[in-house]
Amino acid sequence: MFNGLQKKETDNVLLVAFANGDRRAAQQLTGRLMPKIYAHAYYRLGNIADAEDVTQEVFLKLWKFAPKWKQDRAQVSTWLYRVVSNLCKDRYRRATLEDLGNAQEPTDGTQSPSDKIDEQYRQKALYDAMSMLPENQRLAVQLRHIDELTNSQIAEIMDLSVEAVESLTARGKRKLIEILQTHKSELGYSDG
Amino acid sequence: MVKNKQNHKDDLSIFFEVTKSSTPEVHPDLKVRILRDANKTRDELDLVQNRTWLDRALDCLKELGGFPSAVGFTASLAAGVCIGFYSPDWSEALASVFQIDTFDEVDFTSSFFGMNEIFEDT
Repeated sequence: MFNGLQKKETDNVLLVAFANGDRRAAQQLTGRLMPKIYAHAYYRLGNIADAEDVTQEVFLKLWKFAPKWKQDRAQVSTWLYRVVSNLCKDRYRRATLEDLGNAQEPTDGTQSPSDKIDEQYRQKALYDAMSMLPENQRLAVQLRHIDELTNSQIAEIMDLSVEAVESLTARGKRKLIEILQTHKSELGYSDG
Repeated sequence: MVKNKQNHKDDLSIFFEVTKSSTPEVHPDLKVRILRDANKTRDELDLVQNRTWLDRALDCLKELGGFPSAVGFTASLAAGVCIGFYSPDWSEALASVFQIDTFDEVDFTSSFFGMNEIFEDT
């Protein structure tokens, strides 16, 4: 709890420092938050190029917004997740899966080719299944189970109550299971 | 049935794990691009924060149309002031041009085409 609070203050303090002219603060903020935002954009869009563009755009908005930032406001990361999810929503329909198959090289060298293919199918199947969910369920499930945020953080990002987030996540997961079961053959996924 | 559902849940967590573990590495160029944006934005902010009243006035002038528009505006302002202070009596000049001796005075206080009388009747 204390660590979370301290981290929150640190991000906010860094952003205010950037607004006051400290360029090194931008480096620290980027190093700390960019991987999370990039990962979110990538899971959402399934495309490396789009994910990079969106991440850059999100941070550009952050730098421009910095002078107006108030320290007692939301967490910087929450603000970033909100912006990235909105930008991804705009790009979502244009996103394609073409990079997903090409760019995925598992880092574990002990995996057999069949394991790699299985992982890629699973990843693609999840992406496809998630794209069949309603927008808010998809976002809630992603933030909870892939970005690993807490329900209260998600509630802040989505501007909902914690209970509403819990309900959305549960319904989203149920629907995902249904979709994965129903479209097993279409999604190229099989048990085992 | 319960067991079957549990298996599906396990399947789902496998899907999530696979997706999380297969995030591609962030390309170093992305960080460079983001920091370049930060520096550029910081430069712009510095410019805005260090501006004098003269810079702001010049900007305002530029938005109004620049130097030509300023000249036009100043000339019309000066003409307005001159006309205001030294208002010329051009009635004689106009009378000679249009070959008339006098100008009719219009009485705005009288009834307009008898409208006042109509309204008084009602």
